[in-house]
Amino acid sequence: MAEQVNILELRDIDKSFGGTHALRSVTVTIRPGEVHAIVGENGAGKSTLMKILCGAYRPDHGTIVLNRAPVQISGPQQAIGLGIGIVHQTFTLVPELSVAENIFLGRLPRTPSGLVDWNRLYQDADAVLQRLELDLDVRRPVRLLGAAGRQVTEIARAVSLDAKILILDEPTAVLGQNEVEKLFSVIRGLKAQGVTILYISHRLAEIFTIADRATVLKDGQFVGTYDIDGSIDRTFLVGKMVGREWIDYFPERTRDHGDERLRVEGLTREPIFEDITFSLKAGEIVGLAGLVGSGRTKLCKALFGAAPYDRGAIFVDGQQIRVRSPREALDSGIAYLSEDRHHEGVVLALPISMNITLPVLDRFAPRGLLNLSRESQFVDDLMTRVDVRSRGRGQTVGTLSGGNQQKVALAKWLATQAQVFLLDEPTVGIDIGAKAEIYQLVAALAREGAACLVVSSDIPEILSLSTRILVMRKGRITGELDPESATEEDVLHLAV
Amino acid sequence: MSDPRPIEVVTGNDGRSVRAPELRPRRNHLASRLGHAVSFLGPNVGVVVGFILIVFVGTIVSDVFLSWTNIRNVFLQSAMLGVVALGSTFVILTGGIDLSVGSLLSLCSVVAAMMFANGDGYPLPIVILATLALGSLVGAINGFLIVWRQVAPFIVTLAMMGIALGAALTIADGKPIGGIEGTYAWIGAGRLFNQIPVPVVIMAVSFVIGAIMLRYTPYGRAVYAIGGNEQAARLSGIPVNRVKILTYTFSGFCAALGAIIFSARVTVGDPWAGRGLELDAIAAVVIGGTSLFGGIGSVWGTFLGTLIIIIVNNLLNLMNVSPYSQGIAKGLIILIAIALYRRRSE
Repeated sequence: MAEQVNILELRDIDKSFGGTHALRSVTVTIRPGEVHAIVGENGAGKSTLMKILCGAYRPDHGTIVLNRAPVQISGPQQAIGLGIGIVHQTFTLVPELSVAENIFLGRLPRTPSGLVDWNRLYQDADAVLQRLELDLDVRRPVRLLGAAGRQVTEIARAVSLDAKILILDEPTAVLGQNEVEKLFSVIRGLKAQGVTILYISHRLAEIFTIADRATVLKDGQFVGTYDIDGSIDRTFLVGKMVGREWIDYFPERTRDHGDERLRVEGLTREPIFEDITFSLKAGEIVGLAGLVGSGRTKLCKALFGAAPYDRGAIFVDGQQIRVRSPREALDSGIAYLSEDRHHEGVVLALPISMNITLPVLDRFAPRGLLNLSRESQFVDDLMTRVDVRSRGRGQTVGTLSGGNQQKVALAKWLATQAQVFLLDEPTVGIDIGAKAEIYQLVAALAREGAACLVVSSDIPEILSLSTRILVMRKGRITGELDPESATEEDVLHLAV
Repeated sequence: MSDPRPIEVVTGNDGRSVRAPELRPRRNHLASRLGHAVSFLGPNVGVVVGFILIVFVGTIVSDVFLSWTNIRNVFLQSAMLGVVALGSTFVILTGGIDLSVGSLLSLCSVVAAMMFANGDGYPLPIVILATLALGSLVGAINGFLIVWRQVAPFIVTLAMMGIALGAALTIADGKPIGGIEGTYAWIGAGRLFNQIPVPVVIMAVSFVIGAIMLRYTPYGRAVYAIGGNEQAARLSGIPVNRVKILTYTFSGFCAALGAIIFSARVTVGDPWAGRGLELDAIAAVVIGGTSLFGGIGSVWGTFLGTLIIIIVNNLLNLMNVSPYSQGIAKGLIILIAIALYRRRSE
């Protein structure tokens, strides 16, 4: 190993924000042409490290060595100049412009008279996409592309800037399974061309598919860099990430189920979902598996009155109900936890207390005026029960970690008297510790007689948490599985 | 940074209920109430500091500034802008904007003066109720148009601004309508306990009611929630459309209230009464620390914002600065306020 020259070394990097130490003397070495994964729980320092690399933050201490020469990266422009490209988790494209324009944004080729040279633009863009072995119409506006197309456009932009080191921040967070495969082949192609890839991801399964080495960060500190060569497994990496051995953190499955809580008959919304029929019993946790875009979220929203349906019937506790708004669904005892926490789940600018009591405000205002002390008492009790870690109920939700934000979103629904919980990707983007707590909360809900429908794209999660699994494909339920006997392959077989 | 999370310690694992706890009997802790107010719904620190600074400057540049007469004068001049800005605060808290309040105030003042007609027309209570109803109705139409087809509030209220001004000019034939006297004029010139001008009382009562609405009613919560995240509010069962219509209705009501104060003070209804007032109201709200994106702010901030605008005008008058140049000072203060707030929020 010693003779191998590192393309990039981060030595003793320190970074603090106010009182918090985000990184403590972190040292990472990257070899040329490798796919190097950076893993760790939320808040472990992955994002901070990447932002230092692309010039968004300056380290308080430590050096960055690029090709054996120490460099200062003072801004994004300079990072690009040094051959470091980043593809952010959230896209930074202009939706109305074409793929080609987005790739060459800010440096469109010009004709001698100073106007945009459209022919050359399209040729150049085609050339970049060919290098990535991708088939995409460069004249198409980005707004018409799916998540995968947008991601590829971002990657193409970085590649066209001649990036030698490409940072991918949670690149699969927005992709479906087949799109992930496509992304992996792009990554392999880039690797073959000598591009070094820094790959940040929560999803460990992917790291074992694509990465050569993985560096684990924990609480801002370097834990270790490991070769992904068969000598280590998922359990090993998780143990390093959480600092203890992997334990089975899924709750016991319940077996006795009560009466039917929710029945859905022939629910249809052309062309998103069709003829959906299923039921949920008290105490059941039914996993709803399927690819992104298979209609699961729209189905949940229709059941919650937040999206329309054409025909079909919904029954709660045997009574047929009509849901034309979330208010009506709530009054019928249905709650919906959105997959999109920031846009639909919580109000980031408001304190925890105001978020939690939003659906039940009328309860605290019997004569029109809110009883704030009664509300505070209620919120404190609920926060203790779901264990929101905060400075108190007055802290704004936007300043909480992802896991605690999700607990606030869940607490909001626990505050209602709902009997049917539609939980859409309840653990997306939160760390393992918080996930375990969410699982326990869902299990406790079921034990108390609620019926839960859990939508998840994380198949191991569905297999371990559910008492029954439904699989959707292209808007239809394609099968029901027993999680005790089903495998990931069985689920995928029904889903694709 | 997250703590290492002990996976073994989880809630709900021991059979304890994770559901909504029973409501506890009422407990009235003054401390917890105050804590609530200070932590969230009070005016932000920036506007308080700004206000103190301006008062300080005023004391230095003019020896009559802190006289009882001048203070009373400042509050009296603040009354009309204050009540209009109160309505704008609610609208801006929902993430909207109401550009029609100035013209609507003009229209209401003209209608009130015509109905009163030197005391020969309708009785005063009817005139006041009808004026307030007119303002509320126009506001409700604004709100309805905004939620009906999801049209941007800017566009709808800009159109309404033109319509209301046109209606005012048409009805009044472009001229002020005089003849306000008796009890109506007392609303503008009278003093409670021989000291406090009636318009100031109206403003104070309006702000107290506004503060109670925001802090102690489900409607007020909904206003904050919609401004903070409309989609999340909708999915939490908040009747978003109803709340928005109500908010624009309230804004129209406040404009009408401002019209009554204006007409009573100057004893005319004037189709140009509210010229540019919508921008002053927005300025007062913004100086008061309310975010133009919605969800953050308070009526007390707006109260201080209004006073700051009026005091600056007052000081410039005391210093014999030409009224033509006073707009420059107002503009600069808005810019400084925005710059300071942005810095703080980062």
